[in-house]
Amino acid sequence: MAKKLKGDQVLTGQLLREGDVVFYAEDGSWSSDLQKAKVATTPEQIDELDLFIAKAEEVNLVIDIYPIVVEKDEAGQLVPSLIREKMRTTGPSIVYADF
Amino acid sequence: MYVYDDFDEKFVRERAAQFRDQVERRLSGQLSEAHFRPLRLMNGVYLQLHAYMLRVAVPYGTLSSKQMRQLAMIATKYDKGYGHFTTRQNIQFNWPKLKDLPDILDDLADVGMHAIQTSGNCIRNVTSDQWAGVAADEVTDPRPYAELMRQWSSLHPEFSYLPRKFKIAITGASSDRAAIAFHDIGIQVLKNDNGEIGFAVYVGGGLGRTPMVGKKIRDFISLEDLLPYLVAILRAYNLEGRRDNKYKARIKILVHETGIDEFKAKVEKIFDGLEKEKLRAPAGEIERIQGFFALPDYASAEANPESLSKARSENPAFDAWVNRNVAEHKQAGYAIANISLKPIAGIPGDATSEQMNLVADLAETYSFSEIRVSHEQNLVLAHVKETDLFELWQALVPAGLATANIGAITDMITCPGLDYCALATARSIPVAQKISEKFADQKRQEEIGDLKVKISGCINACGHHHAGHIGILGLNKKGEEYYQITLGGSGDQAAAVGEILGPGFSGDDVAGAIDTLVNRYVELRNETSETFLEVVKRVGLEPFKEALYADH
Repeated sequence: MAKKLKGDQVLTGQLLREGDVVFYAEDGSWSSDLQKAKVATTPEQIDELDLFIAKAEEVNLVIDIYPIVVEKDEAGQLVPSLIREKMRTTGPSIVYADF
Repeated sequence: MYVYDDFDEKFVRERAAQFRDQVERRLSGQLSEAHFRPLRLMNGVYLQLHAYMLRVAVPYGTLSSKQMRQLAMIATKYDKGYGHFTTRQNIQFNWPKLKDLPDILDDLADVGMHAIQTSGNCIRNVTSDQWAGVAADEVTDPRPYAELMRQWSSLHPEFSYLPRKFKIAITGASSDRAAIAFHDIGIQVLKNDNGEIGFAVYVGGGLGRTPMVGKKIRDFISLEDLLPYLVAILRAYNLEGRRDNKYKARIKILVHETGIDEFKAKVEKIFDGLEKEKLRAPAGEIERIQGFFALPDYASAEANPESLSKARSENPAFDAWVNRNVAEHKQAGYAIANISLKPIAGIPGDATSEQMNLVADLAETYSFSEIRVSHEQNLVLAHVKETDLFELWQALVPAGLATANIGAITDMITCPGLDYCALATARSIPVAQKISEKFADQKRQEEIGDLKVKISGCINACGHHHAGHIGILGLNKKGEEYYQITLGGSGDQAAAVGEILGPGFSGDDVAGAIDTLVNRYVELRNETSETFLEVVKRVGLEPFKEALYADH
């Protein structure tokens, strides 16, 4: 198993059919909106999320599922701690296909 | 241009059909992701940061207008209206959906294209000089040999599960525009004293986390023994290349650790023991292939026409474009027109569907319906009459395709970086955009002269930073992007790996640092013709370090 992450965590993955980035939501669905994500804050909740990954992959809807660490910004919005995950959540930082 | 024969057509169609079945089984859950992943990678389908990504092979960088239009159609129908041309002369689509990929592969097969061997530990797309066949400094067109290697390496059973990916590049010119020294195998076409075609062969070059300049393993291998010799190299690698550590699995590590002399001895021993007759191309095959690459039927065209001089003197922007983007052609009265995909502050290598369609139309009108992709992420119309250059330029301008910067500082190789890539540690494109803006002034670019800046967003070096006169490597330190600068690299016939200057810079400070380095170069050069690399060689890194770090 990968190294344990430190901090509040959410699960992310990509839709099998489309490839879109999604987050495991409070209501048990997968949402493209990070703000709807189920946040694990205690060690028990984090373990629960980790255990959920294999089960979620069996459903065959979302692939490449893994936990990421999130923080709350000044406005109380969830933001990923790592720049890679920030980029993954917001999309390319550049204006593309626009010449 | 090469046209698929029945065998090519059949195997591409079969693979597309197989992939359709594999995708259906994956979507229905019959295939797990673990089982499906290697299958999709064999067809060029990656899972990137935001979406799937499809990498389509453009063999040795040559495309027809019809193929380019199909790529534009795919970008419009299945993606977000654009594609990205890569440093291996391929095109990538950044947003395809898995459910659409079988249809995309069928659409590609309709125009003789595919995504086979654009990923995985196999022999990848053979790349070449974008000016092949028309360059003034060429022995002969290398593409028939590239095509021969494409046929030989496609679905090659012995070399489908190599220790790691394997890249081959070939040039027929004395100026290396294909970066052959940074390939697993680099090949230079030569003619011996008897006028016979043969090849100098280099092995063990590469970029990535362990950059190496390829070492010469053969001064001259005959045409008939090219394939057997490649078999011998690949077999030596396949047997002895490391499979225990991904980062030490490329042939460059094997050659480095074994030593070129010992590695060569092993290769020669295998070569001597081969039943070469069975491995050679059938008699007449190379001639058959060469038939497809015969130069077009050039009309007699006026060299240095009056109309061209007049248009240049009346239009400074056109004059700048001819100076920068137009190169000498073998045929009098014709020119090589390079189309920059590096608009000022744009995204290097990206082209919209509209731009792809326009280039296809222009190729049809002015360049025998043929388009080339360069490893520096630009496009080329290789056979344009000098009398047509002004009209061509006028058509390129409104489409944002007339940037006059080929070989200049704003013509940067840039990998997709953290804006797209799942492996990246930092963004590359915004850094390129800032540098491009800083040096936007045409006059200043001309004063600086040729200068190659190359940017990678991680140590895998897809942006060829090691080979940049100025290289930029994006890394991540404590959660922040920062950029290391190297000087003195070169990807041409004088291949060299750049040296790190010192501590890195933040994304906001990189363009300023490049400005400082360029100003220092301009101060240091003895005359305007002294190139950046010549100055670095003469004075060393110290004056550049002083300029960059004196205030720090």
